[in-house]
Amino acid sequence: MKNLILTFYSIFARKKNRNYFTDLFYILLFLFLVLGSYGLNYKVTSNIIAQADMETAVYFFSVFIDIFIFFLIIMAFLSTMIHVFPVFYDDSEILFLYSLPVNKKIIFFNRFIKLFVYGAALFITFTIGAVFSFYVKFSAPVSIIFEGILASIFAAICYVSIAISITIYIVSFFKGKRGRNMLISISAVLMSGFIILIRLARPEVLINSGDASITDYIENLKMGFLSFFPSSWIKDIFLSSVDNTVNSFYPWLYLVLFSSFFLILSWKIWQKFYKIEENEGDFADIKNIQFNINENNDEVKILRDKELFLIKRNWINFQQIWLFIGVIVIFIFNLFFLSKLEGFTNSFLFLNSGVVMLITASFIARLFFGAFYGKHSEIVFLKSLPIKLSSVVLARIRLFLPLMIVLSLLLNLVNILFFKSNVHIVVIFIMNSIIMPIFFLTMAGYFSSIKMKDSFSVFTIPVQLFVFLSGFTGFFMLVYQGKETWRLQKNIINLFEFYSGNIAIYALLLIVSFLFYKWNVKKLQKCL
Amino acid sequence: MIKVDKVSFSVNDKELLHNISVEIPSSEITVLIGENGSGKSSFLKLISGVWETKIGDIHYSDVDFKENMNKVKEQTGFLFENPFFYESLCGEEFIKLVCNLRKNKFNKDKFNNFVELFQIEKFVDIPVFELPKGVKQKFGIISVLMHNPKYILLDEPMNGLDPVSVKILKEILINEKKQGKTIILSTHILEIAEKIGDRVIIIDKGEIIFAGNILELKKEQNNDVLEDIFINLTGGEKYKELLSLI
Repeated sequence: MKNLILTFYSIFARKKNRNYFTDLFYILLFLFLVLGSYGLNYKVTSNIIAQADMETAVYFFSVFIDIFIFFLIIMAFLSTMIHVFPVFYDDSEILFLYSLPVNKKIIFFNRFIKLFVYGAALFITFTIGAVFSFYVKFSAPVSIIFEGILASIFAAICYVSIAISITIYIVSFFKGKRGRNMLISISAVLMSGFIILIRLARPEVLINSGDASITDYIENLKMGFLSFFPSSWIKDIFLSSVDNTVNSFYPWLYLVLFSSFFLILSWKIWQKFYKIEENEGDFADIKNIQFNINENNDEVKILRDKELFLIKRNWINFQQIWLFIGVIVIFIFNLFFLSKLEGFTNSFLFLNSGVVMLITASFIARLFFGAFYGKHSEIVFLKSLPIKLSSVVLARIRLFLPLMIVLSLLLNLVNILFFKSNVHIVVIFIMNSIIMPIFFLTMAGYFSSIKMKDSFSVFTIPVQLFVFLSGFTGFFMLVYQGKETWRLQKNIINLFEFYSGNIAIYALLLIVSFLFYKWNVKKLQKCL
Repeated sequence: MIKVDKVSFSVNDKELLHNISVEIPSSEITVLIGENGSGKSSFLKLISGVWETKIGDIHYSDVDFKENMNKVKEQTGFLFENPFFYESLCGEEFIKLVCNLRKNKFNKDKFNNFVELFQIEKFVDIPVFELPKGVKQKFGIISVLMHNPKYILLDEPMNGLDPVSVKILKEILINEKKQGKTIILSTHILEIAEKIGDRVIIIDKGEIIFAGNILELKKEQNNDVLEDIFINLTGGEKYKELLSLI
C-alpha cells in the first residue's frame, strides 16, 4: 500500500495549477488521439474488406495491425528512452525518496510507474483506437476491448523495462549526462529513421480507396520477423476473438512471461548499475562555446545574442534537430515521387508546401518552446533590470524569424522548381514563406507565456494548442489557396479576385500576429 | 529617499500588503523583519518595480517612479530571495551579461576585487548549475553591486553564506552606506539588524507595525533585546502558546 501511495502522490500531487480546464483539455486530447487512431484503422479495414472476403480481410488486417502496432511500439520505445534520464536521474524527488526509510524496491516501483505513465500513455491510447476499429469492423466480442488494453499494458511493460535497462547501463558506462546526451541523440536519429520508413512504405496507398494494387501492397509489406515482437502477440490476441484457428493462450503466455522477464531484468540492472550522483560531464562541452556579447549593442541585440548563446550551450537543443530530418526526407520524397504523378500536380504542390509549413511549425514547437517555456523566474529577474519587456519578445522573434523565413523560402522555391509552378503560385508561396513564420512565431511566443510556471513538455497545453492552431491555419490556408489557384487556371476567377482574397488572408494573419505579440508582452508584464 | 504611500497589493484575491505607508531615508541601512510570508519580499518587489500596484504610490526623491521606472531600475540593484541565474553561464559570464543589460561596462578589476573578497576565485569559470548554494548567493550579491547602484535592495542576502562571508557582506554594506547608498535588506537574523541597521521596519501579515530607528524602538518598548521586542509586537501571547506545545 505504501508504494502505491508514494507513487500516486509523486505523479499527481506535484502538478502545479491543476484545474478543470487542464483536465478537460487532456480528456479531449485523449479522445482526439483515440478517434484519430480509430479513423485510420477504420479507413484501412474498410478498404480491405471492400475488396476481399471475410477470411482474407482478417488476414490483411492482421498484417496491417501487426505493422501499425510494431511502429507504435518502436516510436513509444524511443520516446520512453528520452524520458528515462529525467525520471531516474534529474528528478529531485528521487533524492527525497532516498532520504526516507523506504525500501529500494518501492523506489524502483515508483520510478517505473512514473516512467510508464510518460512512456506508455500514447501507445495505449493509439492501441485503444485500433482495438475499437477492429471491434466495430469485425463484430468482435466486447471483451476484446479490455483484452486489447491489457495486452498493450503488458507490451508496454516490456519496452519500458528495456528502455530503463539500456539507459541505466549506458549512463553508468559513459558517466552521467554525457551518456544521457548520447542516448537522446541515438533515439532521436532512430525516430527520424522510422518516420522516413513510414513514408517510404507509402501509407497513402492504404487510404487511397479503390486501388487495385492494395492486395500486392499488403503482401509486400508483410514482415516475417515481426512474430517475435510483443506487437505481434497483441495482434494474435485480437485475431483470436474472430478467428477460431488462432489460439490466444500462447500470445498471452509470451506477453506475461516476457514482460515479467524484462521487468525483473530492469530491476536487477537498476540494483547493480544505478548511481544517484550521476550528474557530471557537461562542463567540458559548455566551456568549448565562448561567451561573446558585444556590450555596445542595443538591448534587443544583447538579449538575442544571449538567447542564441544559451541555446548553443544547451546540447539538448541540437539533439532536437535530428527530429526534423525525418520530415525533411518526407519533403524530398514527395518532390521526387509526387511531382511525377500526372493529374494531381497542383494538389501535391500544395500538399508539399504543407510539409514545409509542418517543418517550420515543428521546428518552433521543439526549439522555440524548448528554449522559452517555463521561464517564469527569468522574466521576474529581467523585470528587475532597466530593460523593456517588449525587447525580450522582440529578441526571441529576431532570433528565430530570419532562420524560419530562409528555411521556408528555400524549401518552397525547391518545391516550385520541381512542380513547375506558374508565376502566381511563386508569388503566394513567397508571401506564405514570410507571413506564416511571423504568425507561427508570435503565436508560439504568446502560448509560451500563458503557463510560465510549468516545465516544458511536448504534451503540455500551450504546445498542443500551438500544434493544433498552426496545423488548422496552415491546412485551411493551403486548401483555400489551392482551390483559388485551380479556379484561376480554369478562368473561373480573375487575377484581381485571386490576389485580393490572398491579400485579405495575409492582412488577417498579420493583424492576429500583432495581437499575439502585444498579448505576449502583456503576459510578461503581468508575470509575478 | 523612498516614500511608500498607502500601498496595497493582492495576488489572486489574496492581499499580500495592506495600506503600507513608510518613508525610507537615503544613506541608511533599513532592515525589514517579519515572519515567513509576512510580506517582506512583496514589499521589496514593489519598491524595485518588479511588481506594480494600482493602489497607492511609491516615490523616489530624484526619479518619477511611475513615469520612469527604468530609470529607477538603472539606479537599483535587487537581489532576489532565490537569485536567478542562467544556469549554463559561468559566474563571470552571468555578471558580464547583467552589466551589458544594464548598459554598464563590465569592470573586470571591480569584479576581481569582489571575487577575492568572497574567496570564490576557483568558482569563477564554473557553470552556475555546478556551484554550491552559498557560492551562487555570492555571485548574486556581486551582480547586484557591480554597477554601483544608488539603491541596494537585498532579500535575505545572508542565505547560505558562511560566517566569514556574512561578516564581509556586513562590512561591504556599511561601506556602501558611507558612500551615500540607500540599503534595504530583509532578514530573519535579528543580530544583523542590530549590528548594521539604522532603521527597522517590522511587517506582520502584510502590514507595517513599526518603522523607525532601532534605538528609538528599544527605548519605546523599554527592552534592549530586539528578539523579545519582535515577538511581543508580532503576537507575544501566540508565542507563549507555541512554547507550551514543546
